[in-house]
Amino acid sequence: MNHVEVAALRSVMETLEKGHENVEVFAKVGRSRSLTLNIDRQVLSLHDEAGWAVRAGDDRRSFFHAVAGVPTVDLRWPTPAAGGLRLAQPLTPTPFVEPDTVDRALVGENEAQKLLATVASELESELPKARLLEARLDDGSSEARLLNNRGLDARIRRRLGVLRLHALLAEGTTTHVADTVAIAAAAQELDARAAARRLVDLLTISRDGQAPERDRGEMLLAPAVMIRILAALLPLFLELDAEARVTALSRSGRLASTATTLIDDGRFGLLAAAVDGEGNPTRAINLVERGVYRQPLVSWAEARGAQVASGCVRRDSWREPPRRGISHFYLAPDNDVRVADLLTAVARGYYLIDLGGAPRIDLDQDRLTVPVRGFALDGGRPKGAISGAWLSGSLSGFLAGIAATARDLTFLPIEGLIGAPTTLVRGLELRRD
Amino acid sequence: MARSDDRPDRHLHHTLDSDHTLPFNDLDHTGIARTLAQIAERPGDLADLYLERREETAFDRFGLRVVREEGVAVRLVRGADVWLTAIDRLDADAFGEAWRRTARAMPRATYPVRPFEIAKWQRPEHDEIFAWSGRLQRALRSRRIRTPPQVSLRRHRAWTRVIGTRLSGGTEHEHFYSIDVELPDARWGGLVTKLDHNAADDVALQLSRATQAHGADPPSPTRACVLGPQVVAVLLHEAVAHALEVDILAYGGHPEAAVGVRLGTDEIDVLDDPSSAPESVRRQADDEGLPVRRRWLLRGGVVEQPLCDSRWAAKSDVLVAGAGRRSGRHRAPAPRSSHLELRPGEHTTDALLAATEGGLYLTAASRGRLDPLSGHFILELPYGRRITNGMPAEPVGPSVLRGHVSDLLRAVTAVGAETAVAGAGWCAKDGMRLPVWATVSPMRLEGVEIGS
Repeated sequence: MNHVEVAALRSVMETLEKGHENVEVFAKVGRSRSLTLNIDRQVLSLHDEAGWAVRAGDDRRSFFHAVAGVPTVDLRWPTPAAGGLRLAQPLTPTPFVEPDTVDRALVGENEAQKLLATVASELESELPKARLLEARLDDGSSEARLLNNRGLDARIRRRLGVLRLHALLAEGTTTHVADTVAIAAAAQELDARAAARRLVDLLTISRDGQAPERDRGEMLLAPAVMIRILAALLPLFLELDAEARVTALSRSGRLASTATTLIDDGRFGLLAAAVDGEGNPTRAINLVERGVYRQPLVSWAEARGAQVASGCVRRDSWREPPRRGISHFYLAPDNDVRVADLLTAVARGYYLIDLGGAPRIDLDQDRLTVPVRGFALDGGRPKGAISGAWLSGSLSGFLAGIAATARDLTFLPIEGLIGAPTTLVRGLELRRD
Repeated sequence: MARSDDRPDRHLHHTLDSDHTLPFNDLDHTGIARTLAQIAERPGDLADLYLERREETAFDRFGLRVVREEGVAVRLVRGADVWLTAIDRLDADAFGEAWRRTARAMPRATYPVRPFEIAKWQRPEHDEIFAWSGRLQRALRSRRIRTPPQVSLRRHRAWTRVIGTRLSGGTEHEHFYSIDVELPDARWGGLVTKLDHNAADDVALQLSRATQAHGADPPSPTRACVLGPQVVAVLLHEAVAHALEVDILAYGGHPEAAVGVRLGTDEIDVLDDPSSAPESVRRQADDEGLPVRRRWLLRGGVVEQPLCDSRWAAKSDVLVAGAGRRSGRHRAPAPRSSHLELRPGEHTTDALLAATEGGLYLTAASRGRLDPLSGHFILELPYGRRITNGMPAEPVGPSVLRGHVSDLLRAVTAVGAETAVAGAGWCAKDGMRLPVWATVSPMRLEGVEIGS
């Protein structure tokens, strides 16, 4: 964002300050390149996005007004309406080093085509009857500037590359589909071959897999499965009145086993930043510590009693007003444990590497039913593919049954980034579809 | 949604007057077309400029929000390749920049395009939204719902225009509202084109029905039902419109092969006609600037003309363009429906109910899904009523109507005579969120699977 745009943003704030007690101005520019391949076309798109937003008012009435383009004072503002606005006193964040990928050039057209061609050729050589229904590569960077009339002046810069693949394997009248997502600090760092091999694994398991009628055993859940389950737990950490739900799911005062520590940390991971969407410093917060529920995510304005506030207010775009949300929400890994260690430790059970559909997780009914695919394990070795099976049990049983985590912490983009390592869980059941 | 009272609304008229300021009327079409022609250099190339301005005014428990955006996108289509550049500014420089980046290999040059004359934004208005919130509260109280609802109300206005190398459509304008109302035991969400007494009464009625059905047991498996207009709209959207989009048909081979295939019973005539949609969302051109058409998707249950955009039409003698839609400048167009019509039959709703003794009368759908690969279809129904003595009787809880598209459409035994604008909502496919509209009649199905 150039100095002219920042000066214009400051002018907007100064203009509005004359009629409003609290004024916050936010501007964001972004540039991204996308390449989408599907069965009938290839779309290469470039996006220059720019917009800015104002929040102004007092503690009783306010408005939020967002506009595309560069800031200008030449606007007629809405009249403030019900819903007050409070602003925090600015705090100085502790030192933060931006990742060096922020300034790296976006992936080029040829590079992007080469990456997707690698996926397609790898898929074809490994599984000739498979075809990509859609492959999408996104590479984007953004810069935001946030000012308020309490003296805040913060800059947030981010960069992310995302690869999404959707493939089909048709054999006779039967079809199998698989999806995978990979993220990296920039598109150039994505591993196309690894993503393609994952698709091959998923399609092969789907084709060859069978489901046990009903079986129990140790369940080794890969990050892709754990992350979807963690996503369903978010209301426990985002709703300020989640206490009753937490109590109902807890056993002997613990929400989960002692192997479970859940953290949200705005400074850790690919979208790390020094401050959040309201300019408050980000930090790591233990939401569940060794199985004990500590608190929901609270911002500076919401913290009560012993609750610890964090910079947990997100702005998904200039169009959206700030709201509380996760940034990097993850299950803490055990850096001393390799995935292979957990695998060999399973005497009899299942290694479930992905979902086979949408999970059904009901926090109120304490139920967990997740369609899964993977392998049966016997003596730590894969015995056969598993597909069309449902991992089921109570949610509280799942949380209490988390026995160990490995060190392969992986993140996926779901309402922010959610991360999990491979996790060993006991007490669940696998059933046929 | 059926309306019994068309009293004018003061706020509505005020807003519509301000909508008549069309922002893209004074543009240098010739200069833009000539510039675009420089990149559409090979036979069959298509190049166009998409101009967009949108406004969303929202009022909910978080307060008042006004979001205004505008920008341009330049697209070049060459066979199976599409290049698109979108910029969040609405001026001739943004066009020049987008054109140059879409061209990729062309040198920096000057363009004979005079500056865009774009109408200025007017002061944001929100009085009608506040007024309607109060009107809804009164309508709910009149139906004995006293719990204060959580209301999210948005006014959507959009102005778009497409200029191509040979074609320049007029400015298309849309103006509608999205409503989401939540009570402790019921929820209603949908789109309306007018924020008036009737909209408030209709929303209150739907919520009242949902509240009455709250806690009712799911129905025992049933094979016959009468679907109200809202459910018919969702069913046709998923089972006919999505199923007949050329990019979906392409999963199974060449889309032309679908033409002439029998998908439903003789009773079903379904059209997509954006030009006959409710007035404030009516369209003359699609998002590729091509004239929309009255498109028979199914005539007598047989596929006649799938939903098609210009790219697919260019390689077919059978498929006809005019149904290309985009959710905004950052997305390339794709074939989608706008306003579905089901041609009315001859049966009164009473006759449909009388012929369905013991079956279900289903008037609300919360969600529909089509698996494009298998053709499997699921419709989630939050509540309904058992038909007893030819009348809707005791409420039943949530149920699911499922089956293969062609099985469902072949289960239609009769279509009602009474039509209604119903089931308007947001359609999300491949990340594109679009408003969709329908004018439909009730329908009777027999031999389908409805379970809990």
